Amino acid sequence: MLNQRSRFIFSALCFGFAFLYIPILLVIIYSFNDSRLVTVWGGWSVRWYVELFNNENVLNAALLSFQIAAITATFATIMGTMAGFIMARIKKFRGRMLFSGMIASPLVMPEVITGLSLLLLFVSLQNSIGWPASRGMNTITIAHITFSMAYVAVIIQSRLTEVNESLEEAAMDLGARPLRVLWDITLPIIFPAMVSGWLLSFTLSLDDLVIASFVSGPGATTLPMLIFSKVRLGVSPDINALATILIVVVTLGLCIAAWITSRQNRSAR
Amino acid sequence: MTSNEENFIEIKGISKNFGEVVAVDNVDLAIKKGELFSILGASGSGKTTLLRILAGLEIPSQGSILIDGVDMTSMAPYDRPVNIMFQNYALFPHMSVFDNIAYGLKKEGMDKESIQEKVERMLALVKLEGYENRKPNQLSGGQSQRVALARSLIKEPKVLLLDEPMAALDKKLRQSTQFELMDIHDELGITFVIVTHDQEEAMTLSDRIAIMEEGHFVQIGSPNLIYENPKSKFVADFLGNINLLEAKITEQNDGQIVVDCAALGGELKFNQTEQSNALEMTVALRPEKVMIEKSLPTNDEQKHVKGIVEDFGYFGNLSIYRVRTESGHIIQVSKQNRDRVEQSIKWEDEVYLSWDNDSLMLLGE
Repeated sequence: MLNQRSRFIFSALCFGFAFLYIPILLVIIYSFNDSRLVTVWGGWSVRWYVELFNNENVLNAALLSFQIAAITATFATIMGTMAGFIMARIKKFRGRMLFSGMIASPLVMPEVITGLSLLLLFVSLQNSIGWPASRGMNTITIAHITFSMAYVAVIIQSRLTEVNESLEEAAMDLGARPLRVLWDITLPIIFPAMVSGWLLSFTLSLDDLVIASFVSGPGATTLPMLIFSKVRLGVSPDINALATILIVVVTLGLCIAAWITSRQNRSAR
Repeated sequence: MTSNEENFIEIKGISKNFGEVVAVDNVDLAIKKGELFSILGASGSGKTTLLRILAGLEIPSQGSILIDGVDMTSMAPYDRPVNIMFQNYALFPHMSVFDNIAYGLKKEGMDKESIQEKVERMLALVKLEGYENRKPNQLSGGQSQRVALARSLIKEPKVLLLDEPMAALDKKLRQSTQFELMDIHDELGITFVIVTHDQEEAMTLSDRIAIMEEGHFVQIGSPNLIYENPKSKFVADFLGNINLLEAKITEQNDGQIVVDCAALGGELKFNQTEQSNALEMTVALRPEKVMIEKSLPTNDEQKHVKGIVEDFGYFGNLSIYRVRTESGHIIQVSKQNRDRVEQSIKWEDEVYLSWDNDSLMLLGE
């Protein structure tokens, strides 16, 4: 009975994993396909990787994406940490409910709506004060920061609620002023959470297609946008190679973030 | 003694509300210089809030606090000559033992050699030499407690506040730590204010105890005074074991009250100048002040009641009996086990209970 049941659970698990990961596995395998036709296997080769690294469009898009991701992650971490700190440590202030609701709203807002509203904002700003003069890397970065910082804020808030407030009180009691307490005690303790927030923002920004398509202008094409436009003209095998590289980068980022979080949880115990 | 030493810490009309809840309600208190003072109360009695007000971590809604004649009421915690040891010790997890202890001195801007010297002296005081480089998660509960103590003492505060200092230690360790804490107190001469819910801890440690209930002090005095002369039923019940027996007032005249206490076999006389309006009173009797014997007490003068042992507990050094009297009341008796013999009084034995009239206390509500 128990054996039967566990066999059922095991096969359900296998099915779930297969459903999730076989397509990704196929992309990775076919990225090493020698054939020009995506659907036909023609033996192992790395020619699409070579071609990819010789394609200037791809390299430019990749560079742009990584730049945007790095700037986004950095600003989102700074602003998200501030927001998370306020939500975890300042118990009462006017509009607290509104503030925490608004911080979390980008998490549940459909991307299309976030993208559209930001586009409207940028257009009306351009009309009224002349900035941003053109849409491109700067507007994509700003848009990415707005939704990434929500994730960072949530991570920092949950970490800070785990940290006993008496640590900060003890430092203050021993003669440290509030800013000193932040620097000596709070920041070192939440630093791992900030790193995992940074990595998460980085991958979120690297992944985003919808919002970037809305707020981008001519001449600024991120990697996901490039992939999408190439696929529309028909799937070419080098897309598989590009997708594989992205999968590796994103997986690495998430793994490092998860590893840091688990290590920090262990040391907190 | 100057008035500053007599009223080293002066708490004047302190209240603290959290929204609708009144945690501390118009409290007055004076603590002497160098005193080891305990605030004892159940959880939620407002004792920790009062301690946090003294540390400056909570701003009182009303009233003022003076330490050594200086008004502290609105002074920030980092400016106060007061340090606190938290119940969970609050050691900085990312710093070594040395850096934890040195933290207060570093914030004062003291030079490195002096810090080194002072931390070493402090480590010796709390018997933790050789632990400088450990991280807090590598310490046992007792060691963490010593680090926290050293850290809060290193700035030589005028007042050290301790929030449930022994709560996280096991019983054996707690007893030895209590004596060490008293030694450290004697050596440094710093005024200690301890908050605790453990009455045993408060009794052994303190010069004076304040018992707190629902934001008020119900009695302040030496452990001995409070134990032997509790002001109310609540205090008597809170501190140690006690038999609380119902009694009715039958007669009241100049300085004498006569009550009828069924559990103790009838009329009892008390010298009390204070007249009581209530008819119902409580006669209180500590278990260790009751004599228990299998034969009739030899002294005929002494009052006694007869009863049957309903239950008894053997604790090694003493035995505790629950005796049902002929009137149907339960009286608890504790007896020192002075002789190395088998327990002579057991379940269902008929016994006689007797007591000195001086041991009886008449309490109102």
